[in-house]
Amino acid sequence: MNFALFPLAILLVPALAGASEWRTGGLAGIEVRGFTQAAAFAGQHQGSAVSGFFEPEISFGQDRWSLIFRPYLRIDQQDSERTHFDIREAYWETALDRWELRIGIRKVYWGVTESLHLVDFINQIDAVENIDGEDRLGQPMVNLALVREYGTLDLFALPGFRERIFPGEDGRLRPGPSISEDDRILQSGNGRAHTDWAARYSHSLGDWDIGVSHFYGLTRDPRFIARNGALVPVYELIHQSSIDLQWTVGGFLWKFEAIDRTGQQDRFKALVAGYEYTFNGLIGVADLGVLSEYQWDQRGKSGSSPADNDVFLGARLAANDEASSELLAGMVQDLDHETRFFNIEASRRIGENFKATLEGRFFSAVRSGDPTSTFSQDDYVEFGITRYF
Amino acid sequence: MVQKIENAIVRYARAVIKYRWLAIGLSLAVTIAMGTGAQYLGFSTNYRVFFSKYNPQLESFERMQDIYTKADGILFVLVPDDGDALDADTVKAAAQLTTGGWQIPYATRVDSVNNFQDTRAEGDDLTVGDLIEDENSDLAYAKKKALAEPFLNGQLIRDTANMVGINVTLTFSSDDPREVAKAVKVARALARKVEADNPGHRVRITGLTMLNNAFAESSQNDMMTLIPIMYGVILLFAMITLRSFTAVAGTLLVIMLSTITGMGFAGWVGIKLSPPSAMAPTMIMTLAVADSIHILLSMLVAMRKGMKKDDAIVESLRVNFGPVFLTSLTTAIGFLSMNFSEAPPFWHLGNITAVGVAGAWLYSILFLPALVSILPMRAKKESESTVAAGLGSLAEFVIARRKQLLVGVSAVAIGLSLFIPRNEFDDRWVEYFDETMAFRTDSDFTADNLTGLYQMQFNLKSGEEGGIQNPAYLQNVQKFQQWLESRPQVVHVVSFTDVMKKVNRSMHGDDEAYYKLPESRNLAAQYLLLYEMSLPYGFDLNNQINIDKSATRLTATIRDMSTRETREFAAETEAWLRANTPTSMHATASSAAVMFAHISIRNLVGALTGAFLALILISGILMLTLRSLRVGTISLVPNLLPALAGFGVWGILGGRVTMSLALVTGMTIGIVVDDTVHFLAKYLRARREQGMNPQDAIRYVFQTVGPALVGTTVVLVAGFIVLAQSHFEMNSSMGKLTAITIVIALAADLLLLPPLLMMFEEIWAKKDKKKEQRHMTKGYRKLVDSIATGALLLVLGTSSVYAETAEEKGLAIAIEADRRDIGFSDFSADSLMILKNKRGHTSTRHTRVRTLEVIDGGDKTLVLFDKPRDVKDTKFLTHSKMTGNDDQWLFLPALKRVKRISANNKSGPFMGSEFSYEDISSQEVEEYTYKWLRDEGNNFVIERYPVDKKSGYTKLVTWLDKEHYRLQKVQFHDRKGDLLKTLDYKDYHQYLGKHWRPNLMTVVNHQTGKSTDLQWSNYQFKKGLTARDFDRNALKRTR
Repeated sequence: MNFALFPLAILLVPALAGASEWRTGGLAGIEVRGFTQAAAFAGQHQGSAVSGFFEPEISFGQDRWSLIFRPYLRIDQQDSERTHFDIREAYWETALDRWELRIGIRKVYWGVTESLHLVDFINQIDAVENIDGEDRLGQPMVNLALVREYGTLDLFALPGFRERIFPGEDGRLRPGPSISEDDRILQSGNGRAHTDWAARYSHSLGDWDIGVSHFYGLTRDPRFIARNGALVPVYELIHQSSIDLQWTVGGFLWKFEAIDRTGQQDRFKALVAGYEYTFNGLIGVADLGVLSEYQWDQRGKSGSSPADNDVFLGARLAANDEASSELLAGMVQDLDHETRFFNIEASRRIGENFKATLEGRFFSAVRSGDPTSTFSQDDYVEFGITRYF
Repeated sequence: MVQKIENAIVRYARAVIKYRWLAIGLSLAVTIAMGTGAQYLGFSTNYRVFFSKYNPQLESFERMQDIYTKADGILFVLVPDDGDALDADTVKAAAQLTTGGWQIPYATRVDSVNNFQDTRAEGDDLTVGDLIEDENSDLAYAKKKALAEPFLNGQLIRDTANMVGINVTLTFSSDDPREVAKAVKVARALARKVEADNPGHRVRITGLTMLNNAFAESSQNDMMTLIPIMYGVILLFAMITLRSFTAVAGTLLVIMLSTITGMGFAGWVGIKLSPPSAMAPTMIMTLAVADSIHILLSMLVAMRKGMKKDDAIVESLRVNFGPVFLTSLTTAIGFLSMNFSEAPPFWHLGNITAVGVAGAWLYSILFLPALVSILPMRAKKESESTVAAGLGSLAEFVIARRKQLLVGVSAVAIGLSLFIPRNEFDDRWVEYFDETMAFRTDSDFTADNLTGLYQMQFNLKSGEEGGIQNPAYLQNVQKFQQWLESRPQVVHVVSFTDVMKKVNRSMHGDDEAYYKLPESRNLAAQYLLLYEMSLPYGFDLNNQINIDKSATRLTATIRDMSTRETREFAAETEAWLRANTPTSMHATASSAAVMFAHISIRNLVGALTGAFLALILISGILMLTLRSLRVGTISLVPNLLPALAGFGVWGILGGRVTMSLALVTGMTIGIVVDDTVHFLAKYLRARREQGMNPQDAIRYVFQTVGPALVGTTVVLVAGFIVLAQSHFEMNSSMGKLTAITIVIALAADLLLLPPLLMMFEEIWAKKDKKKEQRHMTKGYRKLVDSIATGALLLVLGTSSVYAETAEEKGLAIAIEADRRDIGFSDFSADSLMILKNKRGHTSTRHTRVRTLEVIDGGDKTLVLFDKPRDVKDTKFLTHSKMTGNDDQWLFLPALKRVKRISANNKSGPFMGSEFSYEDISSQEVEEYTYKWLRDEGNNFVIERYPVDKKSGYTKLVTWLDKEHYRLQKVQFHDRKGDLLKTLDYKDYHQYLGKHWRPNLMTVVNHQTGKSTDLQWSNYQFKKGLTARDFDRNALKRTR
């Protein structure tokens, strides 16, 4: 590839594409979240909260190139901070034989484990959506993927930093002192305009899937300092190296993720490792998966992560029926004291275009001082209906 | 690809020769640019260099050092020949040391028996003064007092009173290493002067400041003695192997430039050398020499064959460029893995050496060819080498006795590994230095005769300002002190309660009955005030109590014990404090000894992480460059085994492991892999390019690279044996263990790797035979235009006609069916599934399916989900395997996550339909065994039996039409053997004049009454899809 021809190629690829087509779709839903306990902190709402979301999607292109736009809006009855708008994706991508290029706002997923996503670090967590860390804010980026026989090397330039959004005064599932997002401290000289960098090598070798990544830039995972009775998020410039491995053998998926971060106070390492085993056709055609993962963080109890020396046990039941009914139940037990967290998620399709979801999260015997202790009064059950277009 | 690279190397080599002066200039410019950094090099003189600033034990110790006076110091031990340390002449010498001690730069306090602040009562007044004013004092009284005094007895004097200690506390103003050197210089001069002025007396010097100084002296010693020896060794070795003045000079220059580059780098980045990092130049020299030797040897061989010098240089670079780069890279990775250590000196060692190795690579391919092209050089005729002859017979031996060797060598290796648990970590710093160093002998003497060298300090807080005067607090401190004194590990304890008791006694007319703690707080406060006011300069209590009098420091001197015992004892003391004292007093034991006791374990974890990563990286690189996963996997054995066996041998030899040994694993993996690389690269070349069988390939390897392997092993072992001569144990044991490991590695490469290769080649050959069958069918396309096609068809045709058994006939039909569909390259189609339940209720699934034909392997299939809409954009990718499990990935659009999933689900329903995953996946001939049942009208009826036990079926009765060998109907029998489902294929159309595809597939489940119709449309063939449309990246694409 001659790089002088590069801009030309970008222009030509869409032009040559005769079979381009528009596609639209998306989803919208309503959820009711009922909290089973009285709020722990002043200002938090009691009882239930109704919210709705809308996530349309429009795309244009064909096999090897496309444009996509996917905004997201949530409106929440109780918490004004949870009412938010985000552009989850808005990018152009093209894939040629030896490389792929993507420019715009995207979401990228890294890693293999289920209970904790240590390695997945490009996109900021959308913390008002859910506490599971799986919802992420769109991240502006230029991503060049070099696709070779010996694996894929992804290079990322990430201009524009996204801060974490936290629940507001009215919101549940927040720390006691309010979080002062306006006073947040960015260690970069140029604030949000800072460009972060990342690189990732990934490959599948026989039964092994491996990924090695490095990130340099403003941390996605802030620490907090107390100031005037509020918590101020501090985003430092960090280096984070990570590795993720999966070994797929028989019905077992053996998983391992580890990170090493410097720049955020003391250098530290953290890991999560475990397995997933699926019993196929356990009852009729239903599959039962059992999961077990160990979570460790070198910062221990003094760190901001609750996953410092914890074990996750879970089970996933897939009925494999016409309605794709699924149930996931899990528990996280802290090995140092009795703190325990239960989680249940269930879903079932209704008709062709609707899906019903049930989600419950319960915090049990939370020891004060544990990072989850501020949620100890925030057990909830959520019921939702989603319509797909 | 390979050819392209070789052409580029040849072009490069020619350019180097053409612009040789420029190449030399460029190399020297790099050396000078890097080398000027050497002016910033210095030696670290602080044991703390072994602890990173994140070390928790160091942090805790530093915190204590901030509160109380620093405890670093020099301990003089005055030993009179007459055995009486409290007679007039010795007292005089001690006085000289005491006053002289104050003259040592940075001295802030001197403690001796002489100036011990004796407390006496004179009426109501408290008199505090020196225990011994001069040699005319009452020495009998002094002896009685000194031996009764807990502060002195066990620390500066013993019951036998045959020697005394004089302790000088030093507070340095900065970390400047010259301060330590200055203090030590004065201290030594003082000791010599005292010995000269007082015949019959010997002065020994120890203490933490002397330890710090010993680190620096040992580094300098090593560099001054070991590096010249190393040059000698290399010169000798180069002369023997190369026998050319120019070549030897070139080699020496390359290692010199590499060393300068590495050390210059150290200077630029501000590394202060410590004993471990002072090994770097020796290591660089050892490792750098191999690059030059490889290049020069090949060149000489080419010249002997009659090539002109410049052509020989080009040829040598062509052959060696790759291996030299690869071995330098793996060696650098091995050394860089040291960055996972806990101790910064090893980071420095690893990084300096890695830079030096990189430099050696650069100079070997840039400077060396240019230099030898300028200098005159002749290749002497080579005589038949005895090494080569010996290796020839070794090869025959290895081939003949491969089974015995495999068992025998494995047994020896496992046997050796069993001794690994005998190793025990021991980082007693005194023992880091061997007995040629005065610091070691003086310290050992002191530990044996006067007092322990290792301490544990506790910062005991009362929890309130002035709380140390609280009788309850004092009682607790005393309880702790008494408990400590009762422990066998403890030699001596100093605590603040001693002062209180002493003053109390003096205030009661020296009545021994009052040698106890004061009973009220006021009394204690008064005593403390009184005592402090009467102390002369330099004797304040700041080394024992903090400024607001809320905490005191308790110092326990402990016996010489292993680091494990130290760690356990520290934990024991902390547990006692937690169980027996209020929360505020729960202190941690901290001191240099505690720090060293913990670092071994912390370091081990880091070192193993590093070694593991290095192993993964290096193995990955090996697999990529050898382009063979199988052989790459086997290479793990000779790379890992030497480290294990090496530690086993170490265990047999005594098993004392200092923290440096933990790093040997990562380092040696990087070094020993070089031999394996050369061995396997040559082996594969012989197998692939020259078509040799495994035995001949092994003979070939022994002949071609054998001498070089032995040669480089000799120089490496020599280099590390030179390192083993260091007077610093961390370095010498590292040198020894590395040398042992490298020897074992050579043995493994020569004795174990060949039998392993031969064994696995047999296993693979059997496996590949199975594949052959496949090759015959699917390989068809490659042969399509050749005459072989006819022959193949003939064979297949006759096989189906003359097949004798039902099994053979069934297989022949399946092969023919498969053959008839070969050559579609790729196809895509849209599918609509209509699921019907018993009551007739329906639901639909829309997917798009793309398949890529892979001639020599399994096909690849990508399924894109469109409806139901909640699974829209989900993608399912399968790479079928002819044998073994398929590889499968799922793309989850909501998370943008690509998840590798287990292929065990093959019997599970696909999207809730009556089709299972195995029904829709590409079906390879090898996945079943066959039996022909009967011919039924226009159809063959055969039975297929899945090979894979995870299949949901035991038997598939299959109808194929005789004309086109198309599937017409399949009856599936479940694991119990009962009829489960019937699948009908309808409405076949032919595409590209060859490939038949059904437009409708209907499956009925007889056991549940459910059914699924699968309608196909929009078939497209040969769309030009490539493997890139079926890789993991393709899953992430929007379309």
